[in-house]
Amino acid sequence: MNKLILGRYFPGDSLIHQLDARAKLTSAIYFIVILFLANNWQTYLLLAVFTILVMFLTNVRLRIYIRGVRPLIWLILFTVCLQILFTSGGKIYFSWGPITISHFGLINGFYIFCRFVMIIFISTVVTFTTKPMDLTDGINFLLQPLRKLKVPVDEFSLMLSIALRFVPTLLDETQKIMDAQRARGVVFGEGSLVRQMKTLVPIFIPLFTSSLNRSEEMANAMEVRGYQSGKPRSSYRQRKWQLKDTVSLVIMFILTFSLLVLRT
Amino acid sequence: MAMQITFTDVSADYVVGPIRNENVLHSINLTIKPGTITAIIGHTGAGKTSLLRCMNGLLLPKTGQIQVGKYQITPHIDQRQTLNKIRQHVGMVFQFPESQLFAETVEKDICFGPLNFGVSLTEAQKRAKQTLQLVGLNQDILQQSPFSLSGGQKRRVAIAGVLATNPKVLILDEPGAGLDPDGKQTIYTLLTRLNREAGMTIILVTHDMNDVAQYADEAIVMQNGQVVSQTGVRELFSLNKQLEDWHLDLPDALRFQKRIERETGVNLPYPCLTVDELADALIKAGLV
Repeated sequence: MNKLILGRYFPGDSLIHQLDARAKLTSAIYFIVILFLANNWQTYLLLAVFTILVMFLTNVRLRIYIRGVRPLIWLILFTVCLQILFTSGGKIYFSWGPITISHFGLINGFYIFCRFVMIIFISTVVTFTTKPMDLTDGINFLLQPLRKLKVPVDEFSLMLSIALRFVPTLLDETQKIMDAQRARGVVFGEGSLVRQMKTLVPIFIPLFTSSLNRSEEMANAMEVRGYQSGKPRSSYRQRKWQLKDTVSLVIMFILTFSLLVLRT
Repeated sequence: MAMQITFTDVSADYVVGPIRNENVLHSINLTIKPGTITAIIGHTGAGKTSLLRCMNGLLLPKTGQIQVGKYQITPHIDQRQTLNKIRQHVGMVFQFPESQLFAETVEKDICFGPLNFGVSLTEAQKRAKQTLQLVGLNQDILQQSPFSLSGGQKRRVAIAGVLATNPKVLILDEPGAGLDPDGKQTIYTLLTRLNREAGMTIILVTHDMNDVAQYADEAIVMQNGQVVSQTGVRELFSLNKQLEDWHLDLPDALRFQKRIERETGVNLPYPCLTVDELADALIKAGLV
């Protein structure tokens, strides 16, 4: 449970923290899109420098970013291996049936690795520096056009913010229930796989019952205070679009332009 | 046979998920005598629950050591084997223990603990019947789902689930929280009986000074992760000045006694902790 770095917020007052959630979200998504424009070492270098600069600006330690990559490392390595083994072209170092390790394969594998790591880093920059509530607020704003297609955007973002709000509560609850069952002699993480799975039952059932009870209570509390789905709601939090937010978008455009110039 | 719990220079951190609070417990030294009822009091965040969790190895000390009977909890204990033996002897009832119920029937839930500690199924079922009787519930709910019971019943089933492991020490985190006066009374009567008849050591956290005055023998006061006082209950409530510093209330009877003393100018011979004591003292002093 200590590995839950992805999606956490680190309080701070850095330049990146001060940006509007909408600016950060758009820039991050935009960055992931233009990442696919890169196709040679110059462009990758440019993006890597940009990513490291942004990470540096957040004042969050590099160690924490790297911990965020760790849970995904096997997925990344798996994709990289596929790239290396099944891309042909250039000088061939090793060949066996359909599997070849070629010059292009190695380069491509390395690029894919960089791409993955940069995507994770940039998205963690957003979650590290944005309060969950601001984030869902921003998502809500960006999804507004979908309302024309009758997508329940407000309900969706409310669900998201409730889910985020209850992550620490559930974590706490899980810990308590695990402790309670431990006190009754359950030993977690020991014995055969089947045995270990059996020890999960006494955790999950109480967790589910309490979650269901809590959601029922929460729904009642919301209704009592006048919540109705589908009705427009005003917001207590004001979003402020500042000059820095515009500047951040302009920087993204400059980045795109340089990529277009540098790519082959 | 009795188990004495001794803390020597214990400090500990509180860790939930990615959050770590340094030194929720700080150089704790204390001894809990076997066969007593000890109340741990103090404000929210004073480290009461952490202290309880240390006693059966759910929270490991960062430094120092805890002696539980013949077992020792040290920062680098070989976790599973020793801790499980300690937990067999030190039963723990958490705050709102009804949230730990999970089995299809009350019987299966109560048997869960004993079975985990290697008791045979027939023995566990026998214990389920006994403990259910002990907590004052009817045998015919054995085959019912624990989720169909009332709040007070659920709590008693949960306590039965811990008692069924035959602990020598019972630790409870606010056993009365969220119950009506009757339910609370039943639980405390049960605890007193377990203590007097079976000689069980009972350690409990509570916020209610009336409970402390009425049921406990000893009291441990905690503040900012440290033990600031460990005394007999009667002694504790005569520490007028300190009680004020610790922001602790007085039991109702004692508060009433002080008011009577202030308004009549008569000083009663000793501080009274319960209503009965107060009545006796008033008769003796000739005020009634």
